[in-house]
Amino acid sequence: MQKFSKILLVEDNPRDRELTLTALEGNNLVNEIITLRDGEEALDYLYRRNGFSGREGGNPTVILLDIKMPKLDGIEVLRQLKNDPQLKLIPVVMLTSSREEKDLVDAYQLGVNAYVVKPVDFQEFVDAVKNVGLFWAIINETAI
Amino acid sequence: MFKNFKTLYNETESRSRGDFYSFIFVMLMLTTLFVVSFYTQITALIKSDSEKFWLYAFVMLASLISLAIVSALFLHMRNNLKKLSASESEVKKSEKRLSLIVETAKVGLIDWDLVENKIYFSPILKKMLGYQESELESSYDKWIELIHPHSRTHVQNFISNLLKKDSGHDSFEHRILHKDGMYRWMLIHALVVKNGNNKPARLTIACIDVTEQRNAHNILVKTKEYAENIIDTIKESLIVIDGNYVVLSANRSFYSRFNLKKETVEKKSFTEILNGVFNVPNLITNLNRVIPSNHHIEDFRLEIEQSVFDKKILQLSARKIYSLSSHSDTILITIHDATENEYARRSLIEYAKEIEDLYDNAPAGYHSLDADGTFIRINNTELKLLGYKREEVLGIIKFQDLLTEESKKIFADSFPLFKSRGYANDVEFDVVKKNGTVLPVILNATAVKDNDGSLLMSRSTMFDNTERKNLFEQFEFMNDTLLKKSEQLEMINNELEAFTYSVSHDLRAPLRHIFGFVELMQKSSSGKLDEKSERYLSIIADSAKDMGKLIDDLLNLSRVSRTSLNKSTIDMNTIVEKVFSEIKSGSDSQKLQLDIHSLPIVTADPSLLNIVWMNLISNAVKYSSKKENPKIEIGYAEGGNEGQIFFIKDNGAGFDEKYKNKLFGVFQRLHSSVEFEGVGIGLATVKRIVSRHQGKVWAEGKPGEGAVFYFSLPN
Repeated sequence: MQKFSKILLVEDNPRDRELTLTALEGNNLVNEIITLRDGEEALDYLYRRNGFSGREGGNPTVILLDIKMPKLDGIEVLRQLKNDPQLKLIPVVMLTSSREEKDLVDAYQLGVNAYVVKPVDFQEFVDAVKNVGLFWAIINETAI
Repeated sequence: MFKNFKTLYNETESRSRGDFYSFIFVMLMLTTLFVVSFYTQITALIKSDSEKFWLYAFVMLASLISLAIVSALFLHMRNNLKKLSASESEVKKSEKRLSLIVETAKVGLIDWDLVENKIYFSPILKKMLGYQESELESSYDKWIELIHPHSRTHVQNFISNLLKKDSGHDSFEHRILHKDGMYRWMLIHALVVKNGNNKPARLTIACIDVTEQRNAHNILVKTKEYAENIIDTIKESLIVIDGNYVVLSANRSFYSRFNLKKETVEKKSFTEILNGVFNVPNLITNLNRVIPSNHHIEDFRLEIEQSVFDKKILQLSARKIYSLSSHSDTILITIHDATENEYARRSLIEYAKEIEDLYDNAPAGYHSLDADGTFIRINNTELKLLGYKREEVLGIIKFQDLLTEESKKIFADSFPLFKSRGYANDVEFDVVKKNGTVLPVILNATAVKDNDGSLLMSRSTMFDNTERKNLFEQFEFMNDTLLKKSEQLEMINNELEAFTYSVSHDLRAPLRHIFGFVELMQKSSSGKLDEKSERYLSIIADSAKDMGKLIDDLLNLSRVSRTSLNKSTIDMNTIVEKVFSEIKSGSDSQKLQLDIHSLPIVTADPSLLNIVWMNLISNAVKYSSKKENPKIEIGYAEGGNEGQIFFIKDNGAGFDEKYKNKLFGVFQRLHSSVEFEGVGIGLATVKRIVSRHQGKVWAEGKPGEGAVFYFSLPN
């Protein structure tokens, strides 16, 4: 058993990915972060298909999901996850640049567990990520 | 013959009876004389001696002589008596005759013996006065008493005059009391009989009851009066002329109608009166025939003009009547003044014409259809619309015949409905004109029904619907255009939404990256860079942060416009205090003096109103923050038509009123960002929210003294 579970980060923008990873790493919370570039990859990973049919390990403790992504966007991924009885228990945190109410409402209606608007201020972002990551990591740990 | 014979017999009988009485009388006389003389002789013989024989003989002789004388006298008398008896019988005879006449003629008699002053009332007279034969005392006083007090003196005078006069008879009418208490009119005819001295000896008065005649006369007089009254009261003018057109009489109406006097009319020629207005050949020809042919003139029309202002229309009727007074045929002419009637008739005709004209030339087609749809009336306007003549339509064409195939179907559906409902509103048809062109029309109709409720006819208006149809088409076209425009607008709106969405994502992302990596760089190069480079890095970071704020504000503004209003009842005080406490917690406002009045409950979108107050209060706080004693007042006033007006007043930097137009524009600032931070979107957002509530925003201010911002919310 790992001390810290793995986090699945789905983010298409490499800069955001880097910043997010930096923020997460800086907190020393996770020993494994799997980064994926879009929604399709995320679903492939979770359903172990295409390039991920032979992947190791179980499901991530938490999924950090960007909304605006090519191919399949975050909201769509969320919908599929929450419709799957096996996957819907995995906590999903939406990481997004958008303050658009529609996205927020959609996400909560689909059963998102947390919603983080990425602030311009990096430190604020780091704090937000830290809070989310810590929270879910701990909850998950104790729950299992 | 028989009567004569009987009379003769009676006379003979009465004469022989008279002779017999005379004989008996003479015989009795003689016998008496004999008895007396014989008795005397015997008495003398016994009492006296023979000496007295001579006396006896003398007496005897004297007796004989006296007997002879008496006999001779008797015979003479008897002859005289015979004569007398004959004349008496004559009188009796005539008396009998008289009484017969008197009885049959119901003539009462008063016979007055003036010499003896004895009066006799005949039984008939008594009967005439209601008495039995035995009842009424025959006396002069009684007679006078019965006479009506008014007549009494006249009667007395009449009698005394009669007695003085030479001629022996006269008549007189008077009233006398009947036993039943009513007075009767009596005609008396009196006859005076004079004696040898030429003095009145006897007065015979014959009385005849003339009450009934008298009454009949009265009735006649009354009837005449009555007729005259009628003639004088009736409005018709009447005039009677004789065969030579001489006016015999005219009634009051005639005189007053023509303002004429009796003397200028009567005995004048009918053809000459009133300056000869009646001297119209045609009328005269007709009048000529009235008497000889018993011709009737009925309502002969005559227009006369007595003056310019007095025109009359007369209707004359005439017929023959027999005049009792002149014992000849006359002509009665009645004149009826038909002037008013005529004028009424003319104005009625005029009115009818006007209505007809209105119907015919109204700016709408009118027609009436019978139960089958056949035209029974149509006006000129509609005929012109359809291009038909009236005679081609009425009773010939059915309305449905004029319709296009399409419209025929509409008519087939709507006509029965019209018949049952009684009206039809704005039904559109396409009619085919006579020249074959199609005319769109619009029909309105009401039904005229009989007592059983079945349709007698329709009353319809028809309008040329071309223009309306064109307008409708235009309207539809415009509607389509509008719909397309609104679709375009919606598309643009959607694009705008997509744009803001991408702005919020894509514009913020690079900023975030700049900011994030600058910060990472600051951390990693901490102490390695010179002061200048560090300052540059922090400027880059601040700029990125400002831009982030700018983008967030813009997004808020666009969100305010796009989200729908969710109005509810909210307490303004609660919202203001909540907003104020939020602001207070994030700023240094220890010395701020705040005065919030009592605010009303309003109906508005709470989250949007929250943004309004957030902007206004934060502005007030911001612009008064540099004052020694910053003061903010929030209040409310009833604004009449404007609704509820709220204001927020500060004693801060204020503004120059000549720039107040710029206050509520996007990115418009009256102060530099060095002076007061900000990007100029807050008041634009306020304006947009208030506008969405149909309210208004405005402001007053003076540089350095403060500003008041107002916004209104309609009731």
